Amino acid sequence: MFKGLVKWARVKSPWILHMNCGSCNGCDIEILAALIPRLDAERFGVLLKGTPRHADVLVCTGPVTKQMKERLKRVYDQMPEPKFVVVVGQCGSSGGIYQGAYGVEGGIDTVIPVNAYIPGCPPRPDAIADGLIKLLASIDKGGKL
Amino acid sequence: MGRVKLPIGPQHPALKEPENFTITLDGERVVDVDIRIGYTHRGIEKLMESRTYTQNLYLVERICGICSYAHVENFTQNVEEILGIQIPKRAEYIRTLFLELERLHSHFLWLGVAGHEIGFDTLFMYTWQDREVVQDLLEMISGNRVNYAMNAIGGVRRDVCVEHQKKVLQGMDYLEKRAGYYKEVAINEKTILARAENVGILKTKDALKYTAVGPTARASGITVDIRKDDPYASYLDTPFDVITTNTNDVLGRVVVRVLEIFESIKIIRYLMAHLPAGEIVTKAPRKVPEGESISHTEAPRGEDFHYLRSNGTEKPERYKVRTPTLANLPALAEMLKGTYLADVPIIVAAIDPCMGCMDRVLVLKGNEKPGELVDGERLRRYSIKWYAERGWKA
Amino acid sequence: MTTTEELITEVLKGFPVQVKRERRVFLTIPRNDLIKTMNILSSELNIQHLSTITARDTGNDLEILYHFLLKGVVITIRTTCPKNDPTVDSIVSVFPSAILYERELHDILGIVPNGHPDLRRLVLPDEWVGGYPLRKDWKQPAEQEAEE
Repeated sequence: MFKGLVKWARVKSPWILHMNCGSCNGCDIEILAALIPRLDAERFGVLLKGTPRHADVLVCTGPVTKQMKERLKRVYDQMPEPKFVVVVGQCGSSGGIYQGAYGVEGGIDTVIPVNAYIPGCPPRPDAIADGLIKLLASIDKGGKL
Repeated sequence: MGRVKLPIGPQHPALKEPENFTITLDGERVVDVDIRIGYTHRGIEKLMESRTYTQNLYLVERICGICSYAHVENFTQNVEEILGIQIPKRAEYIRTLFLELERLHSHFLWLGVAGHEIGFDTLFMYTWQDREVVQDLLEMISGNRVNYAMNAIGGVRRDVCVEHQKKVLQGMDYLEKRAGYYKEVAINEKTILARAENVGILKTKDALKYTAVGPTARASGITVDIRKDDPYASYLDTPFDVITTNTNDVLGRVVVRVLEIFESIKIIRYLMAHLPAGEIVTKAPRKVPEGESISHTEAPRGEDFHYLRSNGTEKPERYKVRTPTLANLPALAEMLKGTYLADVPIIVAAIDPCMGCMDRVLVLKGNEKPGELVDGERLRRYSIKWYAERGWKA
Repeated sequence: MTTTEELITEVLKGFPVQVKRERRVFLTIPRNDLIKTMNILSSELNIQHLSTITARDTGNDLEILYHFLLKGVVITIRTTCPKNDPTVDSIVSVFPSAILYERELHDILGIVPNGHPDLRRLVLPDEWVGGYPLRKDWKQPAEQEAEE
């Protein structure tokens, strides 16, 4: 009985942790812009949290720089199950325009498993909200996109 | 109580790039600060050496997603100087328009961030809502809200039509009203004054000694603004004032940025009223002869400095970028000394770091063994609670 | 009325000052004259604004450029050091704002500023063992392995 309730709570109010893994900030700003009154992702119950231990969804931006790789792994490990990872932006998806740069590992999925990719440079706030909603819908349906 | 070392970093819930401070505390006072950066070091300068000048237009933009246009402007100015080409006047005006629109969106963004740091989230919501007006204008002309891809080597890629000019002016009228409201709030609102007045003092002599730049320097009374000192684009034509205060504190940095919003609006109105007719781009060769060039602009955060060394091919020999936040780090370390831990979030935010702030805080007790892990959201809430206990309310 | 460029040329009489264009002054000095020149800039021209320090691998040696700003004029002091002795005096004692820029040069090009108080890594990761990326003969670690 509780499983259904917990799933409903998770889908109706996903708590997200945002982590910049070396991005130029473009995507990070657009993520925040999705929370302001114009789009107001908070009406979907999205709450930005400060700690991995309270988060359901990890929202990552940026090509993973060599400096951030271990920290990204650590944050992911600290999140309780079930957890989901959303990548926002081209750089997080594949390394983007920084492919080949010596300070960069590659996309987020070279370090941790990813559930959803939202491409763009940066993606518009509407696209980010759309991606998050699609992820929530898939969780509702049973976990796979 | 003995000294305690506090590493803060490298991830923040509200935004931006990561960096790491190790703060030595004596009780609640900061005694020393050590800064470690590099979390967003991607290796762009090296990458630029293996891309053509045209490809680099798009790479250079993405050094930073907030002041991206300042970087592109410097890049194109450097290449155009070595090529010896003069871009059309209309292109200069359009570039200046984008430089100032960027300053507007950046300053509104910053006001919201500063509000969030002190727990004044209403300010964050208001300012970012107003900022959307600027984002819409940027998207209307260039096609994108961020990373506008407006510059070509030799001019700009898109024109501003009469309809755009009208909308820009309407946007300026709206933003001027809103900026007027924020000016009242910044100067009169007790909640902000309590957190910003006499906080994060940077004496003028220290600002000069450590070469602080941008609003951080101007709030310490230093009249430095590259737009006036070494004019570029259309800044010789457009009338505006360099804003300084001499309060040397966070409040000064707030006031400088709010008043700069008015100056940017002034410049944009002038540009729209005097936009010269003509071409928007001059043809430029792909190979750049051997030479070197220096270009710097007054980005929203301060002097953004670029150096180009070319070698006669389609690719740069060496490209060097020094962003304004890097210039402000030594001054930041200085102004954090002697302050309360509770003031650290707002003081760091006040230099408008284009690198992130703190999230993970590790408290090390006396003999430097790792202690309790505290995240940065808790530091922000600690600072709000600390002030609330002393009578402050949002 | 003396322009700033004329003032600089006057104060640096005896040095090969090159006024490239309006507001761009260049000066090449041997590295042994670095501190002497820095002191002249500081005490006689009252310069405090150090914009940044650039360095590059010219192939033969390492060229270092110190960029200053005086009343809107960018003054660039150029010096070189050989690759087999990549040292230069630290200018932190004259210009404290050089502290991070010299650290960066050390990190990415292997230039050692003698007398610098703190040469820990600035931009490269702590675990970096890949050499000096901005050197021209530098290869990505993966390429180095492939060659071996």
